[in-house]
Amino acid sequence: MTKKSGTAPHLRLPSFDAFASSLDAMTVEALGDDAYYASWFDDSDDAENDDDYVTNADDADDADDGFPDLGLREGLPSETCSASRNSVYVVYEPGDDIKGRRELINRACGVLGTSERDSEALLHFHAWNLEDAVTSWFENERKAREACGLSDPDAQTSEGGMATTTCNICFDDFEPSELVTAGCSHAFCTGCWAGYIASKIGEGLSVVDTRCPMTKCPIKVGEAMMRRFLNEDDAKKFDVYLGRSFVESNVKIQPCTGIDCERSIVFENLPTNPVAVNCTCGKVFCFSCGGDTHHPIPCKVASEWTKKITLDGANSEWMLVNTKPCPKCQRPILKNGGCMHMQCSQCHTSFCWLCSSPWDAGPYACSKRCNQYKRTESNSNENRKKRARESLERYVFYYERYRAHENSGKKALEDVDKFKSSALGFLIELQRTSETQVGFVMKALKQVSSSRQILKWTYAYAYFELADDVRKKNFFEHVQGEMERALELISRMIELDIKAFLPPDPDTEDDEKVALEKAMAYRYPPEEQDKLEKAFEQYKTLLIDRTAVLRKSCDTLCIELENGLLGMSTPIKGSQQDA
Amino acid sequence: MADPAALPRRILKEAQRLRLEPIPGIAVEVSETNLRHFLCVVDGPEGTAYEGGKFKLELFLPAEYPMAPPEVFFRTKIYHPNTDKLGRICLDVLKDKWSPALQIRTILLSVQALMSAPNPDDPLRENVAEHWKTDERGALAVAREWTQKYAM
Ligand SMILES: [Zn+2]
Ligand SMILES: [Zn+2]
Ligand SMILES: [Zn+2]
Ligand SMILES: [Zn+2]
Ligand SMILES: [Zn+2]
Ligand SMILES: [Zn+2]
Repeated sequence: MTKKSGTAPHLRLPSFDAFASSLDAMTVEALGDDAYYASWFDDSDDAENDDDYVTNADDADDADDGFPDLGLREGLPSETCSASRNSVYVVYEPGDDIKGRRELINRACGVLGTSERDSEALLHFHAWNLEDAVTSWFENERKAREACGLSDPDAQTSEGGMATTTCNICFDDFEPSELVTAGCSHAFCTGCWAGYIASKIGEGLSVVDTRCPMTKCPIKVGEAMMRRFLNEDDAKKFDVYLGRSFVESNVKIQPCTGIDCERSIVFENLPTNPVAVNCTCGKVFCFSCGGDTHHPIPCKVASEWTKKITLDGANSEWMLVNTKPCPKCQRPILKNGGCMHMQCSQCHTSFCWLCSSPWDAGPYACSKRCNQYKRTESNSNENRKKRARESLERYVFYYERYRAHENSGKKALEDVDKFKSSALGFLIELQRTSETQVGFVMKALKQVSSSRQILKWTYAYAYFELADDVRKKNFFEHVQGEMERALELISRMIELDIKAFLPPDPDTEDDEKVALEKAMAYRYPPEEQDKLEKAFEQYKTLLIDRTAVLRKSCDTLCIELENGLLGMSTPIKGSQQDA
Repeated sequence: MADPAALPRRILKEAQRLRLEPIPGIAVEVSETNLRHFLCVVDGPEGTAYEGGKFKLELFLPAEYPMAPPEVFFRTKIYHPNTDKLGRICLDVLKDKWSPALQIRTILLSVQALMSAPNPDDPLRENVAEHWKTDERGALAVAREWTQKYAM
């Protein structure tokens, strides 16, 4: 089992003060929830419980938020966006399900003071929801027992006075001591019990809910009793069924959707919003709908969008061409970086990949602020054709941006790998420093990749949810714009600016091996060494700051979306400022 | 549960009890060649469309019996929504409601009860069930006709 969580550095940066108050209020609310559950269930058995959950000794807990920091994982918003900070989950390896089940039974025993048998039946009936089980038990114990197939504890004591000495299955006579009941008054011999339970194993998953063999008797056969009569092979099957039933009925657990992966994702507290999870097999998916992750927008919107783009896929192909003519000299420019800032290699014109308008050097953004969709003015006697074209234009607008972020996001993911495999080593060598000292680049790369993933979905959200509400749309576009600007600033730094500290680009004639040898042999000119080390320090400070800004604006956007953009009541101050 | 090759004591005891305390309106006879094979004749319940008919049933106890339910078939044609052309019967105690504490006796009584109370909402033969639901009188008339034709 591996415990994971998002980390939540509390950053306060000047340009985001406008949103700080609303954000903090939400944070307190969200954490308040956790505190409630903690005091309810976790206090009593905190120590053993936490140990059971984290069996991986490497997960040293060094983060401020009380959760172990595993480092960032590619493409997983929950770890590069604080909006999901409460989503602590573990990954069950095959076989862990049965341990998790046992652990929950033990917890119920601790909270309720019930026997293992009672706890198991109760939890099974309540789909392994401890809160529900506890509530029903304290509300009316007798009713709770009846509902889940447990016998009345007072009736149970009459075992000595059992009248029957005939087994109801084989019709043979037995001494009362040779007969066994499941807790009711129906006695059967051990041979018949073994036969009965073996036949139930043959029936499959339903064996986990085996009842007394007597016709219409509702009493559940406890796990210990089942095991008493199972042979070794059947006991193994029983474990598999118990685990599977536990995973399938428990809403806090979802099987991984990865191909051939038999792990499951397990939450201690069910997340209230759709949350992206990352299985150890590498699969990232939405815990709530099982689809590809679409944090921070609702499952319904994401699936509608996915359906739409699949249906419209063929029509949209023309937009996917990866070149755009330079707005000045018309030379086709291939977009190869994740940055939206394009520069013509011939005339050096800077323009925006999305809208082709000039790129502002000052605030470092598209001069048209082209993330803001403007409806084209339409007169009163517009015809259907025009409306249809408009609706297509509107769709294309959002789709283009969605795809642009998707592709750039993929590129950013590749960059993470590329950086890890080569640039990281060069930087350590050239800057005469350590791996931890250059880790900030990796952090920035991952923040970029997950931010693009988030931005991509926000366009789907805007397409469906913000067509009619101008105020919401404006507010949303403002928050989204802040994030895009923060993102482009970093994108540039990690794609271009960093080159100053790396070996020069290889000669085009060189083959891969020669290029690598040359790069490895490269050293800064001695007279430049000091200068480049100082510059790298400055680069580091700036990139760390900007990563924090991006992270914060990412949080703001996600929290706003999850709260239905309620933050728009907060006045927008200094909206055009930059960090 | 002794040697599976030998006939379990339970089956012998059930057969013995069926002989000593016969079920009213149901005749049961063990096949001479196979002691797990029972030939039964159920009298059509009084006051139903099957009244006066004698319905042959075949009952077979599988090797897993009593952990698995007996297999029961009508061997007399019957117009009933919960049976099919092959004589198979749709009855909960023969499927998921089976319990090893049930017996041949209880199963045969359940079949007789099903004849008294057809359940067209859980049909085995759609068209017969439809007939029952849309025109119960007509359906009962056909059932009576079949009883006279095949069961008397
Ligand atoms: Zn027995
Ligand atoms: Zn019982
Ligand atoms: Zn997986
Ligand atoms: Zn989802
Ligand atoms: Zn140009
Ligand atoms: Zn633009």
